[in-house]
Amino acid sequence: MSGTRYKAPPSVRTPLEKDPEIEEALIKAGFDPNLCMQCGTCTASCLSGRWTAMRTREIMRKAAFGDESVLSDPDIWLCTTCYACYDRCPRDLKVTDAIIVLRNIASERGFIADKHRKTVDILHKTGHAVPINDKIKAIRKELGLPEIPPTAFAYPEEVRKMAQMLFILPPKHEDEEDTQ
Amino acid sequence: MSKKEDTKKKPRIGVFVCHCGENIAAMVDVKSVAEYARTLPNVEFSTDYMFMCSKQGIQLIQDAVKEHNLDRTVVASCSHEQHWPTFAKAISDLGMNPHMHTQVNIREWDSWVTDDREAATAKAKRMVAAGVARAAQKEEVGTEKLPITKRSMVIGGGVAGLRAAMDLAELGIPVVLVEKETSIGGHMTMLNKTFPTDECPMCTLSPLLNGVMSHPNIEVLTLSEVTNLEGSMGNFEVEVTTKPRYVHDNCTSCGRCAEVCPVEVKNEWDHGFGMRKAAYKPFPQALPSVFTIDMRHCIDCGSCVIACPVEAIDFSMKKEKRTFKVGTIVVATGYEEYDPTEITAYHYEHPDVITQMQAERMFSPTTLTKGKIVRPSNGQVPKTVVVVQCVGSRNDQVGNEYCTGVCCMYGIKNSRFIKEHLPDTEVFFCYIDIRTPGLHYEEYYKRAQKTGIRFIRGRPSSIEPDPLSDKLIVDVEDTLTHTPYEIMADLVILSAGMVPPKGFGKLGGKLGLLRAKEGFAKEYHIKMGPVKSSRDGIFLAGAIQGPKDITQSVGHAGGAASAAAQPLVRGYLEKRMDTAVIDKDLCTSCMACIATCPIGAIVVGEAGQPVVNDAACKSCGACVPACPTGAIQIRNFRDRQLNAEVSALLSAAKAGGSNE
Amino acid sequence: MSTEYSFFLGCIMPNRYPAIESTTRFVLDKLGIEVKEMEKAGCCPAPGVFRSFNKPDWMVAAARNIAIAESNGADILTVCNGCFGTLFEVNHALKHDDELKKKVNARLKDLGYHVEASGEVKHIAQVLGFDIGPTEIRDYIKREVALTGVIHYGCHFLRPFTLKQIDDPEDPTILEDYFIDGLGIELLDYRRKHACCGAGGGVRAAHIEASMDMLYEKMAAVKQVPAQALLDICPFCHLQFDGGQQTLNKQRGTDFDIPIIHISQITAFAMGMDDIGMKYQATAPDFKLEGRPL
Repeated sequence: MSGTRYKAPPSVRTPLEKDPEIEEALIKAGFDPNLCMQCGTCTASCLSGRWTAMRTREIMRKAAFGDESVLSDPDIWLCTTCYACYDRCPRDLKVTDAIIVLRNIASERGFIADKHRKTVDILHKTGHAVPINDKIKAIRKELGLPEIPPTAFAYPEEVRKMAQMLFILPPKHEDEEDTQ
Repeated sequence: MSKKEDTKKKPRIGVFVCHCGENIAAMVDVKSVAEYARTLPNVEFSTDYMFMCSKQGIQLIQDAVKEHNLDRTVVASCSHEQHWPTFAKAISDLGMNPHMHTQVNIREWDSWVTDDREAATAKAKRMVAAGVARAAQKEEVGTEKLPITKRSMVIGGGVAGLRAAMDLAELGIPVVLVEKETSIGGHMTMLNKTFPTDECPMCTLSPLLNGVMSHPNIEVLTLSEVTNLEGSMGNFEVEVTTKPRYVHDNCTSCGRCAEVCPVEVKNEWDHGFGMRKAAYKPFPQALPSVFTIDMRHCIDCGSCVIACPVEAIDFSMKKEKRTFKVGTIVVATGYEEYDPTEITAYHYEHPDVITQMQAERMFSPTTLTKGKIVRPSNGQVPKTVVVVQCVGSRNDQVGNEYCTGVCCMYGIKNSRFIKEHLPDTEVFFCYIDIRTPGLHYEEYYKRAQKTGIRFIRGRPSSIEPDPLSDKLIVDVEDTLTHTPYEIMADLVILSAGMVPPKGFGKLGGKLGLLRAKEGFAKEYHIKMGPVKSSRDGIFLAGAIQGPKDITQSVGHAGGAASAAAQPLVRGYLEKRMDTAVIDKDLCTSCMACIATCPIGAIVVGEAGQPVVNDAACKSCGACVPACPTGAIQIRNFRDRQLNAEVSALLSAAKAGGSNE
Repeated sequence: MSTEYSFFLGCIMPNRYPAIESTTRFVLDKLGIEVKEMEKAGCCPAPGVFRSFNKPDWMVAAARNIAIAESNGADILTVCNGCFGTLFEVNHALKHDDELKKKVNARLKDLGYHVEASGEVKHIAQVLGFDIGPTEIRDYIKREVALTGVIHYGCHFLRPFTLKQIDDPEDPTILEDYFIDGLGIELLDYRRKHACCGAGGGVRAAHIEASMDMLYEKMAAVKQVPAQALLDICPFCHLQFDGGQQTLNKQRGTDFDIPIIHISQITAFAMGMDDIGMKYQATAPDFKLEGRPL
């Protein structure tokens, strides 16, 4: 029997194995997952949860137990940040902020959808999340507006400076399966 | 005052350092503190022990006193409040004056509030040095027996107040019962059923109500409120203001006045589910069985005056003030149901969203619905009912962190009532946790489960009126199956928690009571003094101390009555005389002390000089710095005694063992 | 009310719905409010996507925009819930946390900016609905709008309530009062009126199916009422409603055709502007608003 170690079946989790970064970051953001009483007000408030498998309450539960699978779970990206759960939580926990924190950690570890990466590329190129195009330029002219608004887009040097400093995304996580 | 002693005699002090198990010893090197104590002036003996308050510990102190001929003891352990009486008694049993014992608190003030063992030990030494210096300066102080007024007052005529009044009266103590409403009985008279037996509350309460009304020792004052309080335990003077009823006591309760009265308004007693006239009795069994004219709504038509066969109605009645001398007071002002309006996601303004108290009235046979379960908006029988638990309880957003503890039971009770009367109606019971502790409560829950109530473990996020129908949309997650439910409900019942009654801030202020942050009256000690208030002589009964069901309220009230009766039955107050004392030679009668005393314990005496009311004095010391000549001092807290203590503390700090 | 604002354009309004920009400028001009341009301002950046990737970076980029407004010496005016959400939250955080402000400024230095967070961030719906209000707006309008519509508040205008404290997000009345009493519009209630449009949080960008599901629920509820138009206060919700209806029709065979009108557009119409740019929108480009004399 030497060399054989007990291994739990795949559907069983060892709660002692926890990702310490999750709890720490959440508490710092004003959401102590240990204080969540699992009442489900967040899930019941969630428009996204009516249509998808996202269960806000379960995400918070997993986070409380430092379950790192929550980070690679695309469900955390289904929150529209509508803040209904945040405004209604009877324990006054900052639920939406907690989701943002989890997304931040997920991003750091490379769990970012390809389409989201594209948004960052556009921002890096244009200074905007939604860039202008020729059709809109023409409409702007018709409406008596300057063809190109006086925003960062008109100042490529400014956009370049920002792109070098902000939102530098890590490479894709090896486990990340982009199903988009 | 007890025997005079030669104060010039050199004191012989024993110091006893307690481990308090690990409470102190884990953080303080108790052995080194005891050793250090032996080096201090006048200390003849010192030692340490695991539990000084144990029988063995006390024996140890008494043996040491005898063996070393000690005349003062210092115990370094816990607070003065907790164990000074224990050790003072230990030496007084040996014939010493109890005030020769000094308590030094190295637990709450030291070991419990740090994790630095070295600093804690150094601080314990400094505190012991100060305590020893103080002990050397202490004077013998006596205990006096003070006269007391053998009468009690109970404020609040709900079930707790009634129980307390009855228990006091049965001990032969005259009681004044003050109730602000028109009749006694409180919330219990509004209930339809009581858990866990489903008894009729009026039937259960009636004997007590009638008993209180007819008891020779009880005077019942309705429409009355306490408007001022003076004096202290044993001799309170309470001013009670009684609003006019406009009906004299000769009223036979025939009801002709109400028959002819043209004004109909909502009956507060029925929480929106019943009407009454401006000449009214809130419910048929109301006691005193006398009608009331509601002047806020009366149109002064005079019909009732003409109709009354006994000429009981009198519009010239005026507000009255009376002052009562009482020895003790029991506060039993109860609770109020939480108003869910502020949880706007629940849309309590909708007629089909009601509270459990409203449901109780709706289910009662005496209201507009005649006990039928209906949708208030249209009078139809509801096919789908949602019961929402924890409304205004367990909710940090509205500032009520606590669990009311009663709502699970009454929510289950009313859900079952609906299910039993309307078996075809679906009842969804939405809860966060079911809390049914106590004998027969879980069994009650189980019985309710059998009726087919759908228990959903989840807190609804919102209750929204549906713009396309007359239903209410309730969103709730069944957290056990992760299923978001959307329930189209006909009726929603909110299990609103218990909160302190609105006027209690004012009354509590008048009575000088401390309040907990939730607004309830703060008990003296959560475990050992749950019926005692923060003020001597005032006791708490029922839900004013915190949410309680009827069983708990009645038990609590019995305890309060017993506590309030103790000094009255004994017949006198025992007062430790470490109170303020005035040196007549130094006093210039400037009366600064009278102006400063926060509780009015100093009065102008017959000779025009200030005199301390020893019974009232709480030894707070506020008067001492106010006195320009140093004439007023607190026994055993005299300037010289405090100076000795502080000097010893400072020199101990200077001598080392200090981190400052 | 301020008589001048730093006008924050953001992304979607100037680059997708320029008519919202031109109508906003028209309205501000009529109200006598001076517009200060925010040269070099960029994306707010969007609270859903960019805050999710890196909140500290998001703060720096937002602080840069706030710094630009500060150099104008005028409070920020946004016409978008997303921009409002980002700039309000960051401005608020900087105002109340000096340590954070120091950290952000240390990074902003490399971009050549400095932020103080001394000003305010406002939403056009707040300026029209509260600062001017439904009574006073009638001094500025030339006609009432003959329309039976529904409104969509969007999320980040009122939520999180503890931060914004503008109106109760569960039961707000600011837009109802403005549209009904101010512009003479008739409004209908619809199911889940206060639910999200489904675009925010980066969901529209990466999970279009879920986003369209949520939109479907919303549009179906609007259609049930039925309303002539949906009034909104946010170009991102606007994009979701306007473009999304066409996506739904194409992909799911629905027949949604509900005109979407921004608060600036409808106010401009009431103030006398006839062409509020409906023809540039994807849904109901032929829709014409009707006026009614005051």
